[in-house]
Amino acid sequence: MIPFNFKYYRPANIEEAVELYQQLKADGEKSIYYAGGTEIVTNARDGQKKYDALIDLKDINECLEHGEKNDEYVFGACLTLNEIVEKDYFPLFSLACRPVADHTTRNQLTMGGNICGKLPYREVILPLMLVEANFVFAGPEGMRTVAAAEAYDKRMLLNEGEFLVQVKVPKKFAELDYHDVRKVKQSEVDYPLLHLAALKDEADQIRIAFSSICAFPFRLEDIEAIFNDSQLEMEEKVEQIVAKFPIPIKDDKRGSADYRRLLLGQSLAEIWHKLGGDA
Amino acid sequence: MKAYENISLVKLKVNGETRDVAIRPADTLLRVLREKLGLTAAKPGCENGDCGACTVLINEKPVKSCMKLAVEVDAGAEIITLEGIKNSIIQETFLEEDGFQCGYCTPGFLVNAYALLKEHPDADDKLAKEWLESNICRCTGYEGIRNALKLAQEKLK
Repeated sequence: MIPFNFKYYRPANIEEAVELYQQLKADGEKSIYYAGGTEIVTNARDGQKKYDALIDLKDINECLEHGEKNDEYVFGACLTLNEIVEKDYFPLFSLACRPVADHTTRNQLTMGGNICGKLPYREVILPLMLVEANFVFAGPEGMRTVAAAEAYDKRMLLNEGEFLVQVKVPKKFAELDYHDVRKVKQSEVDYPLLHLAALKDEADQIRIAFSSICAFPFRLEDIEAIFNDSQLEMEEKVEQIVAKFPIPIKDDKRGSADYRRLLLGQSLAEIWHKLGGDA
Repeated sequence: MKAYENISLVKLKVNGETRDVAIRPADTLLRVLREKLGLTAAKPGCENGDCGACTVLINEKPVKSCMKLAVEVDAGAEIITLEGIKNSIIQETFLEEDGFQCGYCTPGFLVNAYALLKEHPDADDKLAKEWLESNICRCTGYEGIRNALKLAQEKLK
């Protein structure tokens, strides 16, 4: 049982949602945008978080859009992970969505919730970091479209009162070779020890994004330059790549830093082999 | 815009019947089903989205009702609990294959397996595992449950 009361609103469009957030803020009420609810409801139940109001975005058409428009795929923020997997417009994206939580939870868990939530894994963002995706935000200043590199740095860079409406992915990236590696401690339904998504771009360079090995997902061009240097042996690459990590490798009860580093080496070698890096 | 600011009277369509119920916006669907509507098949296990004992169907999709607010389904959504699928083949095969021991997790498994059989009657082992991994059993193990699903698939052919 959730041990406190809150108000619940379901606006019909973007303008209503944004105005409501502003009004609640002016009234001194703490509100949060809401989609699948898997994180918000569980955090509320165990008392980790408390809100005065939830603003549910699931009646907003743009947040439910799912399809092709010109040369892009459009993914609304309120699509569930299973909906994305089932339509499978962009296979690397589906691969990143499929192992998150479990199948039943993925009928509820949304793309926007995974990317914008407080949990550190945010695995769904990995492919989006590789493909020059555009993020559409709505807020008090109106709508804005932001490139992945500017939309995300350790977390989604949303301004006060903004929410993610949708993500647009250029179709050409769905045609490229890709590989995805996710390592868990024991059960397949578990938070990962590491999750890497990789894609070979049109210039035959391999792009890699990392989740779960550090405290937040990241992609760094310096790391990709090392990885694509065919003069280096794999062990040298791993050593240099780890030295470029923005923060140290995680060391916790799920896995020691040494163990995660070992898995990282194996996973990078697997990506190199699968994407023809040694061809 | 729909707004629920206090205790509100909502209409929930459960097992084919529309029920009026007074709820708080903060009430989870699980609590409303059990405590307001007397439908106690869905079980509170972890109430954290991990165990699946609270699984119900919303518009034919399995959902963990402990993580769903009841106000979210006040829009004509079709909610089906285990009470709504009584005497189904999957219940028979759980009995025949000893797919349970204490039985606490069983309603969640049954509802999830029922949805799987409906959406993918020919699900292979990999797909069945992916679906049923959403539920946890802490006493009897999963062999009987797997066998019950396979037997149900055969009987439904």
